Amino acid sequence: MEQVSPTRTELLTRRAQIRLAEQGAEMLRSKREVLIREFLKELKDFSSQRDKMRSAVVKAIQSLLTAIAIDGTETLCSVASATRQPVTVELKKQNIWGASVINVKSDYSVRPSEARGYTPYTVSARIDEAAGRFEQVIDHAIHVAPAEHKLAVLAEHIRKTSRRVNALEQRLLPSLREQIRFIRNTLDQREREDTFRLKRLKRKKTRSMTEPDPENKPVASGQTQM
Amino acid sequence: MSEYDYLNARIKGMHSGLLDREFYEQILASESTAPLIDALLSSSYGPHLRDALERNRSSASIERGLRRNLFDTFEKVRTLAPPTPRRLLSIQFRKWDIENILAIIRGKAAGLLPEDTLTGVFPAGELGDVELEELVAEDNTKAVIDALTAWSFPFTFELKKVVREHPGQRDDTSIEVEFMRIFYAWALDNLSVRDQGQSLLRDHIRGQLDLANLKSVLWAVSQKEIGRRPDAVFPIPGGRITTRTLSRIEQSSSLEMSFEILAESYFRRAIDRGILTFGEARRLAVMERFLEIEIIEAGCKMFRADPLGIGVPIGYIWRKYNEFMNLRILLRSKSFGKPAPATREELFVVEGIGN
Repeated sequence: MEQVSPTRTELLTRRAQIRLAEQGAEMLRSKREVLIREFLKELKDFSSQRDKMRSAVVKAIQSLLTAIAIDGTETLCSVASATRQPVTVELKKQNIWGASVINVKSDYSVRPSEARGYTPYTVSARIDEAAGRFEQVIDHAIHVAPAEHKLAVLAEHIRKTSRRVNALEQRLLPSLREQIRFIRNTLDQREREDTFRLKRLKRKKTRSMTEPDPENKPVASGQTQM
Repeated sequence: MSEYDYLNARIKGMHSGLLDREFYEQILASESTAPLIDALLSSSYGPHLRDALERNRSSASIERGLRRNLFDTFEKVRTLAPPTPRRLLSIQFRKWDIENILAIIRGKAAGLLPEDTLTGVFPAGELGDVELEELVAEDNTKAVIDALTAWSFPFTFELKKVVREHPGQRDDTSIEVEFMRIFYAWALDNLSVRDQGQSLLRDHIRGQLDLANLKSVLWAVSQKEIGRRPDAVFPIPGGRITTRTLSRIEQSSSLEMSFEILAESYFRRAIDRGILTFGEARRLAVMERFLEIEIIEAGCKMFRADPLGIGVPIGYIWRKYNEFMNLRILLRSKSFGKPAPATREELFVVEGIGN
Protein backbone atom coordinates (compact mmCIF):
# COMPACT_ATOMS: atom_id res chain seq x y z
CA MET A 1 0.00 0.00 0.00
CA GLU A 2 1.26 3.43 -0.92
CA GLN A 3 2.14 5.90 1.77
CA VAL A 4 -1.09 7.48 2.96
CA SER A 5 -1.37 10.26 5.48
CA PRO A 6 -4.26 9.25 7.70
CA THR A 7 -6.08 12.53 7.87
CA ARG A 8 -9.72 13.37 7.52
CA THR A 9 -9.01 15.42 4.37
CA GLU A 10 -7.25 12.44 2.87
CA LEU A 11 -10.28 10.30 3.78
CA LEU A 12 -12.58 12.70 1.99
CA THR A 13 -10.27 12.79 -1.05
CA ARG A 14 -10.15 8.99 -1.17
CA ARG A 15 -13.94 8.77 -0.91
CA ALA A 16 -14.26 11.22 -3.80
CA GLN A 17 -11.76 9.12 -5.76
CA ILE A 18 -13.80 5.97 -5.13
CA ARG A 19 -16.97 7.66 -6.34
CA LEU A 20 -15.15 8.81 -9.47
CA ALA A 21 -13.63 5.36 -10.06
CA GLU A 22 -17.02 3.68 -9.62
CA GLN A 23 -18.60 6.09 -12.07
CA GLY A 24 -15.71 5.49 -14.49
CA ALA A 25 -16.05 1.71 -14.18
CA GLU A 26 -19.78 1.96 -14.75
CA MET A 27 -19.24 4.10 -17.82
CA LEU A 28 -16.57 1.76 -19.16
CA ARG A 29 -18.88 -1.21 -18.60
CA SER A 30 -21.56 0.57 -20.65
CA LYS A 31 -19.01 1.35 -23.34
CA ARG A 32 -17.92 -2.27 -23.40
CA GLU A 33 -21.52 -3.41 -23.74
CA VAL A 34 -22.10 -1.05 -26.68
CA LEU A 35 -18.85 -2.14 -28.34
CA ILE A 36 -19.71 -5.81 -27.87
CA ARG A 37 -23.17 -5.24 -29.30
CA GLU A 38 -21.64 -3.45 -32.31
CA PHE A 39 -19.00 -6.18 -32.63
CA LEU A 40 -21.58 -8.98 -32.66
CA LYS A 41 -23.76 -7.14 -35.18
CA GLU A 42 -20.76 -6.60 -37.46
CA LEU A 43 -19.57 -10.18 -36.93
CA LYS A 44 -22.86 -11.61 -38.17
CA ASP A 45 -22.58 -9.73 -41.49
CA PHE A 46 -18.85 -10.29 -41.70
CA SER A 47 -19.07 -14.09 -41.39
CA SER A 48 -21.50 -14.41 -44.26
CA GLN A 49 -19.59 -11.89 -46.38
CA ARG A 50 -16.27 -13.61 -45.72
CA ASP A 51 -17.75 -17.01 -46.64
CA LYS A 52 -19.01 -15.54 -49.89
CA MET A 53 -15.62 -14.00 -50.58
CA ARG A 54 -13.80 -17.21 -49.76
CA SER A 55 -15.87 -19.22 -52.23
CA ALA A 56 -15.45 -16.43 -54.82
CA VAL A 57 -11.66 -16.55 -54.35
CA VAL A 58 -11.60 -20.34 -54.75
CA LYS A 59 -13.64 -20.13 -57.96
CA ALA A 60 -11.53 -17.23 -59.29
CA ILE A 61 -8.28 -19.07 -58.65
CA GLN A 62 -9.60 -22.22 -60.31
CA SER A 63 -10.58 -20.19 -63.39
CA LEU A 64 -7.23 -18.45 -63.42
CA LEU A 65 -5.30 -21.70 -63.20
CA THR A 66 -7.29 -23.18 -66.09
CA ALA A 67 -6.71 -20.03 -68.13
CA ILE A 68 -2.97 -20.09 -67.36
CA ALA A 69 -2.76 -23.75 -68.33
CA ILE A 70 -4.67 -23.49 -71.63
CA ASP A 71 -4.24 -19.90 -72.81
CA GLY A 72 -0.80 -19.33 -71.33
CA THR A 73 0.63 -16.54 -69.22
CA GLU A 74 1.46 -14.43 -72.27
CA THR A 75 -2.20 -14.15 -73.35
CA LEU A 76 -3.27 -13.45 -69.78
CA CYS A 77 -0.60 -10.74 -69.37
CA SER A 78 -1.69 -9.10 -72.60
CA VAL A 79 -5.40 -9.19 -71.75
CA ALA A 80 -4.69 -8.04 -68.20
CA SER A 81 -3.03 -4.90 -69.56
CA ALA A 82 -6.18 -4.12 -71.54
CA THR A 83 -8.59 -4.77 -68.73
CA ARG A 84 -6.85 -2.81 -65.95
CA GLN A 85 -9.04 -0.27 -64.17
CA PRO A 86 -8.54 1.80 -61.05
CA VAL A 87 -10.73 0.95 -58.06
CA THR A 88 -11.86 4.16 -56.37
CA VAL A 89 -12.95 4.01 -52.76
CA GLU A 90 -14.08 6.76 -50.40
CA LEU A 91 -12.84 6.40 -46.84
CA LYS A 92 -14.99 7.85 -44.06
CA LYS A 93 -14.07 7.88 -40.37
CA GLN A 94 -16.72 6.83 -37.85
CA ASN A 95 -16.46 7.13 -34.09
CA ILE A 96 -18.07 4.41 -31.96
CA TRP A 97 -17.54 5.33 -28.29
CA GLY A 98 -14.01 6.50 -28.99
CA ALA A 99 -13.20 3.62 -31.33
CA SER A 100 -12.27 5.23 -34.60
CA VAL A 101 -13.25 2.94 -37.52
CA ILE A 102 -13.04 3.53 -41.23
CA ASN A 103 -16.04 2.96 -43.45
CA VAL A 104 -15.41 2.37 -47.15
CA LYS A 105 -17.78 3.55 -49.82
CA SER A 106 -17.24 2.60 -53.44
CA ASP A 107 -19.29 2.61 -56.61
CA TYR A 108 -17.25 -0.34 -57.89
CA SER A 109 -19.23 -3.09 -59.56
CA VAL A 110 -18.47 -6.12 -61.70
CA ARG A 111 -18.23 -4.88 -65.27
CA PRO A 112 -20.03 -6.46 -68.16
CA SER A 113 -17.59 -8.36 -70.39
CA GLU A 114 -17.75 -5.80 -73.20
CA ALA A 115 -16.51 -3.10 -70.84
CA ARG A 116 -13.32 -4.98 -70.00
CA GLY A 117 -11.34 -3.68 -72.97
CA TYR A 118 -11.09 -6.84 -75.04
CA THR A 119 -13.26 -8.70 -77.46
CA PRO A 120 -14.39 -12.33 -77.42
CA TYR A 121 -13.01 -12.65 -80.97
CA THR A 122 -9.51 -12.68 -79.53
CA VAL A 123 -10.04 -13.70 -75.92
CA SER A 124 -11.37 -17.03 -74.69
CA ALA A 125 -14.36 -17.46 -72.38
CA ARG A 126 -11.91 -18.93 -69.83
CA ILE A 127 -10.06 -15.63 -69.51
CA ASP A 128 -13.31 -13.67 -69.47
CA GLU A 129 -14.62 -15.98 -66.74
CA ALA A 130 -11.43 -15.54 -64.67
CA ALA A 131 -11.61 -11.74 -65.13
CA GLY A 132 -15.28 -11.68 -64.08
CA ARG A 133 -14.63 -13.85 -61.05
CA PHE A 134 -11.71 -11.74 -59.89
CA GLU A 135 -13.86 -8.62 -60.26
CA GLN A 136 -16.37 -10.34 -57.96
CA VAL A 137 -13.54 -10.96 -55.49
CA ILE A 138 -12.68 -7.24 -55.56
CA ASP A 139 -16.35 -6.41 -55.04
CA HIS A 140 -16.45 -8.71 -51.98
CA ALA A 141 -13.10 -7.39 -50.72
CA ILE A 142 -14.40 -3.82 -50.76
CA HIS A 143 -17.10 -4.92 -48.30
CA VAL A 144 -15.11 -7.44 -46.29
CA ALA A 145 -11.91 -5.41 -45.77
CA PRO A 146 -13.54 -2.48 -43.88
CA ALA A 147 -15.70 -4.92 -41.91
CA GLU A 148 -12.59 -6.85 -40.91
CA HIS A 149 -10.84 -3.60 -40.00
CA LYS A 150 -13.88 -2.49 -37.98
CA LEU A 151 -13.97 -5.82 -36.12
CA ALA A 152 -10.26 -5.61 -35.36
CA VAL A 153 -10.61 -2.04 -34.03
CA LEU A 154 -13.71 -2.95 -31.99
CA ALA A 155 -12.04 -6.06 -30.60
CA GLU A 156 -8.99 -4.03 -29.60
CA HIS A 157 -11.21 -1.43 -27.92
CA ILE A 158 -13.23 -4.12 -26.13
CA ARG A 159 -9.97 -5.62 -24.85
CA LYS A 160 -8.68 -2.20 -23.82
CA THR A 161 -11.96 -1.28 -22.10
CA SER A 162 -12.10 -4.63 -20.30
CA ARG A 163 -8.52 -4.09 -19.09
CA ARG A 164 -9.51 -0.65 -17.82
CA VAL A 165 -12.65 -1.96 -16.10
CA ASN A 166 -10.58 -4.71 -14.53
CA ALA A 167 -7.92 -2.25 -13.45
CA LEU A 168 -10.57 -0.09 -11.81
CA GLU A 169 -12.50 -2.94 -10.23
CA GLN A 170 -9.69 -5.27 -9.28
CA ARG A 171 -6.91 -2.87 -8.41
CA LEU A 172 -7.82 0.78 -7.95
CA LEU A 173 -11.09 0.41 -6.08
CA PRO A 174 -9.85 -2.27 -3.63
CA SER A 175 -6.71 -0.25 -3.07
CA LEU A 176 -8.71 2.92 -2.38
CA ARG A 177 -11.05 1.00 -0.10
CA GLU A 178 -8.06 -0.41 1.72
CA GLN A 179 -6.62 3.05 2.10
CA ILE A 180 -9.97 4.36 3.43
CA ARG A 181 -10.11 1.47 5.85
CA PHE A 182 -6.60 2.27 6.98
CA ILE A 183 -7.34 5.98 7.35
CA ARG A 184 -10.58 5.26 9.15
CA ASN A 185 -8.87 2.78 11.46
CA THR A 186 -6.11 5.22 12.16
CA LEU A 187 -8.56 8.05 12.70
CA ASP A 188 -10.70 5.82 14.94
CA GLN A 189 -7.64 4.78 16.85
CA ARG A 190 -6.62 8.34 17.16
CA GLU A 191 -10.11 9.27 18.30
CA ARG A 192 -10.13 6.49 20.85
CA GLU A 193 -6.77 7.61 22.12
CA ASP A 194 -8.02 11.17 22.30
CA THR A 195 -11.12 10.05 24.13
CA PHE A 196 -9.04 7.94 26.46
CA ARG A 197 -6.62 10.81 27.05
CA LEU A 198 -9.48 13.23 27.61
CA LYS A 199 -11.16 10.79 29.95
CA ARG A 200 -7.94 10.40 31.90
CA LEU A 201 -7.54 14.12 32.04
CA LYS A 202 -11.12 14.50 33.15
CA ARG A 203 -10.71 11.81 35.74
CA LYS A 204 -7.56 13.44 36.90
CA LYS A 205 -9.25 16.77 37.02
CA THR A 206 -12.23 15.42 38.88
CA ARG A 207 -9.99 13.64 41.33
CA SER A 208 -7.99 16.75 41.85
CA MET A 209 -11.13 18.71 42.50
CA THR A 210 -12.58 16.25 44.99
CA GLU A 211 -9.35 15.38 46.79
CA PRO A 212 -7.81 18.31 48.70
CA ASP A 213 -4.47 19.25 47.56
CA PRO A 214 -1.99 18.00 50.04
CA GLU A 215 -0.06 21.13 49.53
CA ASN A 216 -3.15 23.20 50.25
CA LYS A 217 -3.91 21.29 53.47
CA PRO A 218 -4.63 23.57 56.35
CA VAL A 219 -1.47 24.15 58.22
CA ALA A 220 -1.09 22.93 61.73
CA SER A 221 -0.85 25.47 64.44
CA GLY A 222 2.44 27.05 64.76
CA GLN A 223 3.11 26.44 61.03
CA THR A 224 2.71 29.10 58.46
CA GLN A 225 2.14 28.59 54.80
CA MET A 226 4.87 29.84 52.56
CA MET B 1 10.63 -33.62 -107.87
CA SER B 2 8.04 -31.66 -105.93
CA GLU B 3 8.89 -28.71 -103.67
CA TYR B 4 7.39 -30.69 -100.82
CA ASP B 5 9.38 -33.92 -101.08
CA TYR B 6 12.41 -32.90 -99.05
CA LEU B 7 10.41 -30.69 -96.64
CA ASN B 8 7.82 -33.39 -95.96
CA ALA B 9 10.46 -36.09 -95.51
CA ARG B 10 12.25 -33.97 -92.92
CA ILE B 11 8.99 -33.08 -91.19
CA LYS B 12 7.90 -36.70 -91.06
CA GLY B 13 11.21 -37.41 -89.33
CA MET B 14 10.52 -34.61 -86.83
CA HIS B 15 6.97 -35.89 -86.41
CA SER B 16 8.23 -39.22 -85.09
CA GLY B 17 9.71 -37.35 -82.13
CA LEU B 18 6.32 -36.03 -80.98
CA LEU B 19 5.01 -37.35 -77.67
CA ASP B 20 2.39 -40.08 -77.72
CA ARG B 21 -0.59 -41.01 -75.52
CA GLU B 22 1.51 -43.38 -73.42
CA PHE B 23 3.74 -40.44 -72.39
CA TYR B 24 0.75 -38.34 -71.29
CA GLU B 25 -0.77 -41.25 -69.36
CA GLN B 26 2.50 -41.84 -67.49
CA ILE B 27 2.69 -38.18 -66.52
CA LEU B 28 -1.00 -38.09 -65.56
CA ALA B 29 -0.39 -41.03 -63.22
CA SER B 30 2.49 -39.23 -61.48
CA GLU B 31 2.10 -37.06 -58.38
CA SER B 32 4.42 -34.13 -59.09
CA THR B 33 6.18 -32.26 -61.89
CA ALA B 34 9.46 -34.14 -61.32
CA PRO B 35 8.61 -37.13 -63.59
CA LEU B 36 7.46 -34.69 -66.30
CA ILE B 37 10.76 -32.78 -66.12
CA ASP B 38 12.79 -36.00 -66.14
CA ALA B 39 10.84 -37.36 -69.11
CA LEU B 40 11.20 -34.09 -71.04
CA LEU B 41 14.93 -33.86 -70.31
CA SER B 42 15.42 -37.17 -72.09
CA SER B 43 13.30 -36.09 -75.08
CA SER B 44 13.79 -33.54 -77.88
CA TYR B 45 12.95 -30.86 -75.29
CA GLY B 46 16.14 -31.72 -73.36
CA PRO B 47 18.54 -28.99 -74.59
CA HIS B 48 15.96 -26.18 -74.30
CA LEU B 49 14.81 -27.37 -70.91
CA ARG B 50 18.35 -27.67 -69.55
CA ASP B 51 19.01 -24.05 -70.56
CA ALA B 52 15.77 -22.89 -68.98
CA LEU B 53 16.34 -24.84 -65.76
CA GLU B 54 19.79 -23.37 -65.18
CA ARG B 55 18.34 -20.67 -62.93
CA ASN B 56 15.61 -22.64 -61.13
CA ARG B 57 13.11 -25.47 -61.58
CA SER B 58 9.95 -23.35 -61.35
CA SER B 59 6.94 -23.91 -63.61
CA ALA B 60 7.69 -20.59 -65.33
CA SER B 61 11.23 -21.77 -66.18
CA ILE B 62 9.97 -25.09 -67.53
CA GLU B 63 7.36 -23.27 -69.62
CA ARG B 64 10.08 -20.96 -70.93
CA GLY B 65 12.01 -24.02 -72.09
CA LEU B 66 8.92 -25.51 -73.77
CA ARG B 67 8.20 -22.22 -75.52
CA ARG B 68 11.76 -21.90 -76.78
CA ASN B 69 11.56 -25.43 -78.17
CA LEU B 70 8.28 -24.61 -79.95
CA PHE B 71 9.63 -21.39 -81.47
CA ASP B 72 12.85 -23.07 -82.62
CA THR B 73 10.89 -25.97 -84.13
CA PHE B 74 8.67 -23.55 -86.06
CA GLU B 75 11.76 -21.66 -87.19
CA LYS B 76 13.27 -24.92 -88.40
CA VAL B 77 10.12 -25.71 -90.40
CA ARG B 78 10.26 -22.24 -91.97
CA THR B 79 13.95 -22.66 -92.79
CA LEU B 80 13.38 -26.04 -94.42
CA ALA B 81 10.48 -24.83 -96.55
CA PRO B 82 11.07 -23.90 -100.20
CA PRO B 83 9.33 -20.71 -101.53
CA THR B 84 5.78 -22.01 -102.21
CA PRO B 85 5.29 -23.94 -98.96
CA ARG B 86 7.07 -21.08 -97.17
CA ARG B 87 4.47 -18.60 -98.48
CA LEU B 88 1.59 -20.87 -97.42
CA LEU B 89 3.11 -21.54 -94.02
CA SER B 90 3.51 -17.82 -93.45
CA ILE B 91 -0.27 -17.43 -93.81
CA GLN B 92 -0.76 -19.67 -90.78
CA PHE B 93 2.12 -18.07 -88.87
CA ARG B 94 0.73 -14.56 -89.44
CA LYS B 95 -2.15 -15.52 -87.11
CA TRP B 96 0.30 -15.42 -84.18
CA ASP B 97 1.80 -12.21 -85.58
CA ILE B 98 -1.54 -10.42 -85.60
CA GLU B 99 -2.23 -11.58 -82.04
CA ASN B 100 1.20 -10.28 -80.98
CA ILE B 101 0.56 -6.95 -82.69
CA LEU B 102 -2.73 -6.69 -80.78
CA ALA B 103 -0.89 -7.49 -77.53
CA ILE B 104 1.58 -4.68 -78.27
CA ILE B 105 -1.24 -2.25 -79.10
CA ARG B 106 -3.01 -3.19 -75.84
CA GLY B 107 0.22 -2.54 -73.97
CA LYS B 108 0.63 0.85 -75.68
CA ALA B 109 -2.98 1.82 -74.89
CA ALA B 110 -2.52 0.82 -71.24
CA GLY B 111 0.79 2.71 -71.00
CA LEU B 112 2.79 -0.39 -70.03
CA LEU B 113 6.57 -0.47 -69.92
CA PRO B 114 8.13 -2.29 -72.89
CA GLU B 115 9.33 -5.17 -70.70
CA ASP B 116 5.79 -5.63 -69.33
CA THR B 117 4.31 -5.59 -72.83
CA LEU B 118 6.84 -8.23 -73.91
CA THR B 119 5.46 -10.68 -71.33
CA GLY B 120 2.23 -10.66 -73.37
CA VAL B 121 3.68 -11.74 -76.71
CA PHE B 122 4.13 -15.26 -78.05
CA PRO B 123 6.72 -15.11 -80.82
CA ALA B 124 5.64 -18.26 -82.66
CA GLY B 125 4.88 -16.43 -85.89
CA GLU B 126 6.99 -14.78 -88.55
CA LEU B 127 7.87 -11.92 -86.21
CA GLY B 128 10.55 -13.21 -83.88
CA ASP B 129 11.83 -11.94 -80.52
CA VAL B 130 13.99 -9.22 -82.07
CA GLU B 131 11.23 -7.79 -84.28
CA LEU B 132 8.73 -7.84 -81.44
CA GLU B 133 11.17 -6.07 -79.13
CA GLU B 134 11.60 -3.41 -81.82
CA LEU B 135 7.84 -3.01 -82.13
CA VAL B 136 7.37 -2.79 -78.38
CA ALA B 137 9.99 -0.04 -78.22
CA GLU B 138 8.00 2.12 -80.69
CA ASP B 139 6.21 5.16 -79.24
CA ASN B 140 2.66 4.50 -80.35
CA THR B 141 0.39 2.29 -82.44
CA LYS B 142 0.99 4.31 -85.59
CA ALA B 143 4.75 3.90 -85.21
CA VAL B 144 4.24 0.14 -84.73
CA ILE B 145 2.36 -0.10 -88.03
CA ASP B 146 4.95 2.11 -89.75
CA ALA B 147 7.70 -0.26 -88.60
CA LEU B 148 5.71 -3.22 -89.93
CA THR B 149 5.33 -1.42 -93.28
CA ALA B 150 9.08 -0.92 -93.40
CA TRP B 151 9.55 -4.68 -92.91
CA SER B 152 7.12 -5.44 -95.79
CA PHE B 153 4.58 -6.97 -93.43
CA PRO B 154 1.42 -7.71 -95.43
CA PHE B 155 -1.89 -5.82 -95.08
CA THR B 156 -0.27 -2.88 -93.25
CA PHE B 157 -2.16 -0.45 -95.51
CA GLU B 158 -5.47 -1.73 -94.11
CA LEU B 159 -4.10 -1.79 -90.54
CA LYS B 160 -2.96 1.81 -90.90
CA LYS B 161 -6.43 2.81 -92.06
CA VAL B 162 -8.04 1.14 -89.03
CA VAL B 163 -5.58 2.81 -86.64
CA ARG B 164 -6.40 6.19 -88.22
CA GLU B 165 -10.13 5.57 -87.71
CA HIS B 166 -9.71 4.43 -84.07
CA PRO B 167 -7.26 6.88 -82.57
CA GLY B 168 -6.21 5.32 -79.29
CA GLN B 169 -9.34 5.10 -77.11
CA ARG B 170 -8.47 2.57 -74.44
CA ASP B 171 -11.83 0.82 -74.31
CA ASP B 172 -12.24 0.68 -78.06
CA THR B 173 -12.19 -3.05 -78.79
CA SER B 174 -13.35 -2.63 -82.38
CA ILE B 175 -9.72 -2.17 -83.45
CA GLU B 176 -9.10 -5.80 -82.38
CA VAL B 177 -12.08 -7.04 -84.40
CA GLU B 178 -10.97 -5.01 -87.41
CA PHE B 179 -7.44 -6.39 -87.22
CA MET B 180 -8.79 -9.95 -87.16
CA ARG B 181 -11.13 -9.11 -90.05
CA ILE B 182 -8.18 -7.78 -92.09
CA PHE B 183 -6.05 -10.83 -91.30
CA TYR B 184 -8.73 -13.35 -92.32
CA ALA B 185 -9.59 -11.44 -95.49
CA TRP B 186 -5.91 -11.35 -96.46
CA ALA B 187 -5.38 -15.04 -95.60
CA LEU B 188 -8.41 -16.21 -97.62
CA ASP B 189 -7.47 -13.96 -100.56
CA ASN B 190 -4.05 -15.56 -100.68
CA LEU B 191 -5.28 -19.15 -100.76
CA SER B 192 -6.56 -20.52 -104.02
CA VAL B 193 -9.60 -22.77 -104.02
CA ARG B 194 -8.38 -24.62 -107.10
CA ASP B 195 -5.18 -26.05 -105.59
CA GLN B 196 -5.97 -29.06 -103.37
CA GLY B 197 -3.40 -28.27 -100.68
CA GLN B 198 -4.24 -24.58 -100.59
CA SER B 199 -7.92 -25.41 -100.48
CA LEU B 200 -7.31 -27.62 -97.44
CA LEU B 201 -5.43 -24.82 -95.69
CA ARG B 202 -8.13 -22.36 -96.75
CA ASP B 203 -10.79 -24.55 -95.16
CA HIS B 204 -8.74 -24.75 -92.01
CA ILE B 205 -8.29 -20.96 -91.84
CA ARG B 206 -12.05 -20.65 -92.34
CA GLY B 207 -12.50 -23.05 -89.42
CA GLN B 208 -10.33 -20.80 -87.24
CA LEU B 209 -12.46 -17.86 -88.36
CA ASP B 210 -15.59 -19.82 -87.45
CA LEU B 211 -14.18 -20.41 -83.98
CA ALA B 212 -13.54 -16.65 -83.50
CA ASN B 213 -17.09 -15.84 -84.71
CA LEU B 214 -18.61 -18.57 -82.56
CA LYS B 215 -16.77 -17.35 -79.45
CA SER B 216 -18.28 -13.97 -80.07
CA VAL B 217 -21.90 -15.02 -80.68
CA LEU B 218 -21.90 -17.62 -77.90
CA TRP B 219 -20.52 -15.01 -75.53
CA ALA B 220 -23.43 -12.72 -76.54
CA VAL B 221 -25.89 -15.54 -75.75
CA SER B 222 -24.25 -16.19 -72.37
CA GLN B 223 -24.58 -12.47 -71.56
CA LYS B 224 -28.29 -12.63 -72.44
CA GLU B 225 -28.69 -15.60 -70.10
CA ILE B 226 -27.52 -13.51 -67.15
CA GLY B 227 -29.90 -10.70 -68.04
CA ARG B 228 -27.49 -8.37 -69.81
CA ARG B 229 -28.08 -6.84 -73.20
CA PRO B 230 -24.85 -7.21 -75.17
CA ASP B 231 -24.04 -5.14 -78.25
CA ALA B 232 -24.94 -6.73 -81.55
CA VAL B 233 -22.22 -9.02 -82.93
CA PHE B 234 -21.04 -8.48 -86.49
CA PRO B 235 -19.40 -11.74 -87.52
CA ILE B 236 -16.31 -11.64 -89.69
CA PRO B 237 -17.32 -12.91 -93.14
CA GLY B 238 -15.59 -15.78 -94.90
CA GLY B 239 -16.09 -18.66 -92.48
CA ARG B 240 -17.61 -22.07 -93.20
CA ILE B 241 -20.56 -21.33 -90.94
CA THR B 242 -22.86 -18.89 -92.70
CA THR B 243 -23.68 -15.46 -91.31
CA ARG B 244 -27.32 -16.57 -91.19
CA THR B 245 -26.51 -19.50 -88.90
CA LEU B 246 -24.38 -17.26 -86.71
CA SER B 247 -27.23 -14.80 -86.52
CA ARG B 248 -29.65 -17.62 -85.53
CA ILE B 249 -27.22 -18.69 -82.81
CA GLU B 250 -26.93 -15.12 -81.57
CA GLN B 251 -30.70 -14.82 -81.35
CA SER B 252 -31.07 -17.95 -79.19
CA SER B 253 -32.26 -17.34 -75.68
CA SER B 254 -30.04 -19.97 -74.06
CA LEU B 255 -26.70 -21.63 -74.67
CA GLU B 256 -28.40 -25.03 -75.02
CA MET B 257 -30.52 -23.71 -77.88
CA SER B 258 -27.48 -22.20 -79.57
CA PHE B 259 -25.63 -25.52 -79.27
CA GLU B 260 -28.58 -27.24 -80.92
CA ILE B 261 -28.26 -24.90 -83.89
CA LEU B 262 -24.49 -25.29 -83.91
CA ALA B 263 -24.89 -29.08 -83.93
CA GLU B 264 -26.26 -28.74 -87.47
CA SER B 265 -22.77 -27.68 -88.59
CA TYR B 266 -19.44 -29.51 -88.66
CA PHE B 267 -19.11 -28.73 -84.94
CA ARG B 268 -21.65 -31.48 -84.24
CA ARG B 269 -18.98 -33.85 -82.88
CA ALA B 270 -17.62 -31.17 -80.55
CA ILE B 271 -21.12 -30.46 -79.24
CA ASP B 272 -21.78 -34.19 -78.74
CA ARG B 273 -18.49 -34.56 -76.85
CA GLY B 274 -18.96 -31.51 -74.69
CA ILE B 275 -22.67 -31.26 -73.96
CA LEU B 276 -22.60 -33.48 -70.85
CA THR B 277 -19.63 -31.71 -69.32
CA PHE B 278 -21.26 -28.40 -70.16
CA GLY B 279 -24.52 -29.58 -68.59
CA GLU B 280 -22.71 -30.31 -65.33
CA ALA B 281 -20.72 -27.06 -65.23
CA ARG B 282 -23.11 -24.67 -67.06
CA ARG B 283 -20.09 -22.63 -68.15
CA LEU B 284 -19.41 -21.40 -71.67
CA ALA B 285 -15.66 -21.84 -71.11
CA VAL B 286 -16.18 -25.62 -70.88
CA MET B 287 -17.89 -25.91 -74.26
CA GLU B 288 -15.48 -23.44 -75.84
CA ARG B 289 -12.60 -25.83 -75.09
CA PHE B 290 -14.40 -28.60 -77.03
CA LEU B 291 -14.90 -26.23 -79.97
CA GLU B 292 -11.21 -25.29 -79.85
CA ILE B 293 -10.25 -28.96 -79.79
CA GLU B 294 -12.35 -29.49 -82.91
CA ILE B 295 -10.27 -26.88 -84.77
CA ILE B 296 -6.98 -28.18 -83.35
CA GLU B 297 -7.97 -31.69 -84.40
CA ALA B 298 -8.81 -30.48 -87.91
CA GLY B 299 -5.35 -28.86 -88.08
CA CYS B 300 -3.66 -32.02 -86.85
CA LYS B 301 -5.59 -34.15 -89.37
CA MET B 302 -4.11 -32.17 -92.25
CA PHE B 303 -0.90 -34.14 -91.68
CA ARG B 304 -2.58 -37.23 -93.12
CA ALA B 305 -5.16 -35.50 -95.36
CA ASP B 306 -2.53 -34.09 -97.74
CA PRO B 307 0.55 -36.32 -97.37
CA LEU B 308 2.31 -34.95 -100.45
CA GLY B 309 1.58 -31.24 -100.04
CA ILE B 310 1.24 -28.41 -97.57
CA GLY B 311 -0.91 -30.58 -95.28
CA VAL B 312 2.21 -32.24 -93.79
CA PRO B 313 3.95 -29.07 -92.52
CA ILE B 314 0.67 -27.42 -91.47
CA GLY B 315 -0.48 -30.62 -89.74
CA TYR B 316 2.90 -30.89 -88.03
CA ILE B 317 2.72 -27.28 -86.83
CA TRP B 318 -0.67 -27.95 -85.26
CA ARG B 319 0.46 -31.23 -83.73
CA LYS B 320 3.54 -29.57 -82.26
CA TYR B 321 1.47 -26.63 -80.98
CA ASN B 322 -1.07 -29.05 -79.49
CA GLU B 323 1.77 -30.95 -77.82
CA PHE B 324 3.06 -27.69 -76.34
CA MET B 325 -0.44 -26.88 -75.04
CA ASN B 326 -0.78 -30.39 -73.57
CA LEU B 327 2.58 -30.11 -71.81
CA ARG B 328 1.64 -26.70 -70.44
CA ILE B 329 -1.67 -28.07 -69.15
CA LEU B 330 0.13 -31.05 -67.57
CA LEU B 331 2.80 -28.85 -66.05
CA ARG B 332 0.34 -26.42 -64.51
CA SER B 333 -2.03 -29.18 -63.40
CA LYS B 334 0.77 -31.10 -61.69
CA SER B 335 2.14 -28.02 -59.96
CA PHE B 336 -1.34 -26.99 -58.75
CA GLY B 337 -2.28 -30.56 -57.76
CA LYS B 338 -5.24 -30.80 -60.13
CA PRO B 339 -6.77 -34.29 -60.25
CA ALA B 340 -5.84 -36.45 -63.25
CA PRO B 341 -9.44 -36.92 -64.59
CA ALA B 342 -9.99 -33.14 -64.72
CA THR B 343 -6.63 -32.67 -66.44
CA ARG B 344 -7.38 -35.45 -68.94
CA GLU B 345 -10.53 -33.59 -70.03
CA GLU B 346 -8.47 -30.54 -70.99
CA LEU B 347 -5.90 -32.47 -72.99
CA PHE B 348 -6.27 -33.31 -76.63
CA VAL B 349 -4.12 -36.26 -77.65
CA VAL B 350 -3.62 -36.89 -81.34
CA GLU B 351 -3.83 -40.57 -82.14
CA GLY B 352 -1.25 -42.22 -84.40
CA ILE B 353 1.77 -40.33 -83.10
CA GLY B 354 4.88 -42.29 -82.34
CA ASN B 355 3.93 -45.21 -84.58
